[in-house]
Amino acid sequence: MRCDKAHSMISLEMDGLLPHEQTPHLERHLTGCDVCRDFRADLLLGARMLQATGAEPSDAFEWKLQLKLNQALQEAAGARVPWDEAPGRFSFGWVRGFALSSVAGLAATLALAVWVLPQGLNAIGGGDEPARTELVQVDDSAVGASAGDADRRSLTPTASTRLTTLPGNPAGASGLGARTVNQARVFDMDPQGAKDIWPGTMRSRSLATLQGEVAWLRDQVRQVRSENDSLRALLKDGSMGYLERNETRRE
Amino acid sequence: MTDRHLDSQSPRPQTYADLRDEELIALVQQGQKRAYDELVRRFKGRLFSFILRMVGDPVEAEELAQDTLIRAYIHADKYREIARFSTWLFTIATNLVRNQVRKKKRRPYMLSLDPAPEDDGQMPVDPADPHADPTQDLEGEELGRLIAEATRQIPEKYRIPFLLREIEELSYEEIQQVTGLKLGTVRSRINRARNRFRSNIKPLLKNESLLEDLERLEARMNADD
Repeated sequence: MRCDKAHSMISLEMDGLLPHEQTPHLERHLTGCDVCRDFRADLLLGARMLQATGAEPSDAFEWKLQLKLNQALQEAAGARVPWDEAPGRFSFGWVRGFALSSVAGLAATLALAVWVLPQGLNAIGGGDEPARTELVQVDDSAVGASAGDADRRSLTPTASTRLTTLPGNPAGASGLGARTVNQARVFDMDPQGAKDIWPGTMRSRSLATLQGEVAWLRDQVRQVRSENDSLRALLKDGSMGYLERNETRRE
Repeated sequence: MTDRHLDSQSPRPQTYADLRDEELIALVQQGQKRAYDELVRRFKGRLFSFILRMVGDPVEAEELAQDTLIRAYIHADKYREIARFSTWLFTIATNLVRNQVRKKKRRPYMLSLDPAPEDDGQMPVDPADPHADPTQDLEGEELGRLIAEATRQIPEKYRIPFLLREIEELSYEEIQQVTGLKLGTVRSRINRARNRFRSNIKPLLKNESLLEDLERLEARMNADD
């Protein structure tokens, strides 16, 4: 019998798995082979060493275990039901939720544009003439009878008012430029006066005005997109590839 | 095992230490937490020892041992007595160890910036056991360190079945269940691990002082039993 075969049999013998009929063969080999006899003795001694040198955990093991177990059980018990699956709640698909939030955002942007943008544009916009935001007195007859008539009558002065910018601020300038809604006679207005009239301004604005402003916003978005494309082209040459990947993902 | 421990008039056994592991886990399934405490007492050392020899770090070994016991508690209802409880438990432990070893191989070594638990002042300090004999710890320390090192040098795929056999005395079939290996593979890997282990510890086997340490450790173990 070769020694490597004997080593395998010794390993099985240690585990009580050596077939009975093979035991005499192994014993005969071990009688004449010092190397294999030493091998068996070393394995048995090594097993004793392994058994005797087992380690014990620290004294803190059990209370740490208890802490972790309590935490795990609390997490398992308190696992929250996703809000859109909770009983009694309206279940939004994520697409609908996204669409709704997008519409809400757009409405908020439009409202902001109507309220704030004219003044902001005048402050930021370029051109030779400084931007000014002033109240414009508009003839009632120009506006025509509409649902806002009653509100307009409640305002002081009696004519309806509209916020606009002077024609000196060019429309469609790059960046946030000033814009012209329409042209009319302009009166200087002190801040307090503006405050008195402002609450009624929204009600007095016509649909056409709002549509004009939406068109203006779309122009601005197109400009920004065009600038983004230019920037993207510049970045492609550089090392900021992550922006490109984000753009690709968004598209 | 009589039924007196399990009859309905005395739902709690008089002593959990008398019950088999399988009976204890059955009580855990019924909600008896004390039965789980007994299982923890029985297996914490064995789990820790096995896992320590796999991962080499005592802190990590403790965490993995705790994770094993936590999973056993949470998923106690999944245990069926078609296998020994120890086989089931060490299957959980082996999987956790394998996952940990795989994670370590994937990421480079990182040094944690978090203070050690003992340093942040929030964890209570474990008081030293006033009755412990420090000389006893030193006796086996060198031998333990050398054996641990010799074990760690065995490749992981051989080490798991080797330790399950040598330390936990699981049968080949049980090791087959734990590791998912074929029976023949279990046999050959244990054989190879023993050859490797023997080569690693050869220098120690003729060291008289280490052999004396071994005898003292064995005497202490027998006295504890």
